Parts: sequence; C-alpha cells; structure tokens
Amino acid sequence: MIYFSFFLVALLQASLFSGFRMAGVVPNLILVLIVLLLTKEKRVSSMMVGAGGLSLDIFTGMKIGTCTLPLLIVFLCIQWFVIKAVKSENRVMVFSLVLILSTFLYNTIRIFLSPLFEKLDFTMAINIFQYYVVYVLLLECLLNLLFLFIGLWILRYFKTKTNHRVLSVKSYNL
Amino acid sequence: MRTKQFWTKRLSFFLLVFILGSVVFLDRYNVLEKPKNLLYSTLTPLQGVVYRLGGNSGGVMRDLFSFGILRKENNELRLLNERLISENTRLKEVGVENRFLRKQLEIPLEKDYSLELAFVVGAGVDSNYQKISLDKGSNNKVRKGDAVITSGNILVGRVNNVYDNRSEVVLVNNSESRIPVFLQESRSQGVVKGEHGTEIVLDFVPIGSEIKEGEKVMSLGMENIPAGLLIGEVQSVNHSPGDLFKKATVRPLTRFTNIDRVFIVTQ
Repeated sequence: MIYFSFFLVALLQASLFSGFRMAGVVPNLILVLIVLLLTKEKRVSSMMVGAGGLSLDIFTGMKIGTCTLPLLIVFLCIQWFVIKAVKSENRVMVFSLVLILSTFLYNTIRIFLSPLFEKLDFTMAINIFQYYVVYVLLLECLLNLLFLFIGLWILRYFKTKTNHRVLSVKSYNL
Repeated sequence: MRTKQFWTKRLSFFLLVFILGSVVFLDRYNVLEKPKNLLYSTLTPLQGVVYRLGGNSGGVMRDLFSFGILRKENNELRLLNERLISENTRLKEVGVENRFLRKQLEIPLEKDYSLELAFVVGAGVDSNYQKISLDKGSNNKVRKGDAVITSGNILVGRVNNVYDNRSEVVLVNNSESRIPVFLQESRSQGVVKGEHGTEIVLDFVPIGSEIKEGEKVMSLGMENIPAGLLIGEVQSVNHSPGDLFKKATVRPLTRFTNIDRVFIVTQ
C-alpha cells in the first residue's frame, strides 16, 4: 500500500501538478508524503523512498538517480529528527520545521549532485543554488506545508470516521 | 536474535545502495534504454491522461487568478491580431512572388517538413521548466535531434531521447541546448543557449555585428532544425568592453509552462 502511494504521488507530481505550478514551482509531494507517514508513525523504509524516487525519475524522464539519491539522503537525515519529534508535545510545529528543513536540504543536494547527471559545471550549480534560494525556496516551502496540512486533515478525517464506525459497531454488540 | 536483526537491517541497506548505485551507473551509460522503453510503453498513456487532467484544472485555476491580466492581454492580442492579418495578406503576396521568381531562376523550392502532433505527458519537476516528455516516439518516425515547435513556427526545443512511444525534449532554456541563430533585421549570427531554465542567452555574436533590442531571433538551420523558426526576441544587450563576443538576453515567445501540445518536425 505504501509502495503504491509513493508510485501514485510520483505520478501526480510529474504530471497532474505540473499544471498547478505557482510561479513555476511544483510542490514536492514525495517529501510531503515521507513526513506525513512519519508523523503517523508508519514504518517507512529506505526501499520505499528509493522506489518513490525511482518512479519520479522515470515519470519526469530524468536520468535515474537525479531525484532518488537526494530523497534517500534527506530521508536518512530526517529520521533522527522525526524520532525526537514524535515524543515532543507540539508535533505539528516540529514536523513543519522538519519539512522546511528537508525541502531546503533536498534541493541543495539535488543542485550540487546535478553535475553528475547533467552537463553542468560546479560554478553553474552555485548560480542555480543562489537563484533557488532567492526565488524558489520560500514558495516551495509554503506549498509543501500547505500539502502537509491537507494530508494531515485528510488522515484525521478518515480516522474520525473509522473511529465512529468502530464505536457504533461496539455499541450495537453491547 | 538482536544481532541477527541488526545485520539483516544493515545488509538490506547495503543491498539497496548497491542496487541503486548499479542502476545509476548503468543508466548514465544508456544501458537501461530497453527496460525503460518497455516501462514507458505501459506508463505513457496513463501519464498522458493524468497530465491533461492537471493541465485542464491548472488552466482554470490560472484563469481565475489572472482575470485582470487576461483582459489586458486580450486587448493587446486583438490589436496584434489586426496588425498580423494585414501583414499576413502582404506576406502571401510576397510568397506567390517568391515562388514565381524561384521558378524563373530555377532555384528549388524550400524544403517541406512533415509535422507530427504530439501531446505533453510529463514535465521536469524543477522550478525552472527545462524538459518535457511527449507521447510520440520512434514508432512515429521521431528521431533524436528533431525540432519541436508550437503553432506559429516557434521553436521550443529538440528531441533528446527517443523510445518507441515516447520522447524526451530538451527545451530551449535548458543549459544543454545550443542552437545557431540569426537576427531578423541586423542578420547578425550567434548561438542561443539556455541558462539552466532561468533565461535564454544569445552568445557568440561577433563584436562588429549589430544587435537591436526587440528584433526577432530565428534558427539558422542545422541538422534536423529547419531555418527560419522563431525562438524569441532580444530583450537586452549585455556587452562590456574587452569581451570577445556580444551577448544578449532573449525573451521567449511562448510560455514553456503552458505548453500541452506541440509539433515534432520529422522531415
């Protein structure tokens, strides 16, 4: 199920959300999904994240590894924060911060790894990084947060519905 | 028991790193083209449907948020349209005259190219839109290097990778793109290259040549790219003393993010 959701989200990010670009920015739905699953204390493995990144590389027609490698590195980095965050009282706040941090980290790694996959030199990568920080970062963080909250709301909605159903079945049995 | 679990975890991680490393390495040297081709044959139709769905809804959202701009743009376009109709009529006359003169001088007619309509099925997820995927491939006689245009003969990019039912296009603003061009009025020649999606730059214009702001930049014609395709117009000239060549920033004539269908020039 989790593998399928990564595949679906990669498809949506590369296709559907290309039409929803705000100032050219597409939300990083895979990153949002990782944080969302970790919020709900679901078991997310590197294999699942790798599969998601691979799907994204294939759907966007980029060289394999362009998105997969940064995603895996970010996933390994944020795991530590997430373990701490699960115990904290203000979880939504901490997870939002984790998402912002991972958005920045993901794009930084992706830009500086791009000379491996494209015809790009390091000086150009620095210029792109500057452009990213000035024009894109803020908007992308906001978009990612928006989708994180939408995801949280959807999960809460379904959880409440399931709880109601379980309660009504229990009361019927009584 | 605990040690076993520890080693299983470590082993699966190293296995993942090994598999991923191999896949990245093989793909870098285009060894995985066949499996990718098979995968694309299955996934491209599905991706096309999802992309069009997004394009339609995205279009509605864009229209809702930019009503004022659309109104202004509409008025400007109406004026431009009137001007273009009169220019078109004049050009038709010139075309007839041109054909007549070519016949008289026994110069062969300009090459006719065949166009293949293709729909966009995917796009790069970068903020700087630089690559698109199309639903046509080698089964439709698409070849690597073919020019990709929109209506109005505006060049948007060239085919970079071809699969059976899919092709990847590098847009003009991509840093991998290099197109020899000429300027419509001053006839100066140079090379148009992308700056990683942030802008398009006209470079290698000889120092003695003239560049006028606002003049049209057109393809010079090379390999599979026909001559005379519109690329953009000169936005600003950047030249500092001591430079070997003149440079200019080019404003594209089409919004790359709005493209949902294109023509592939398949000759």
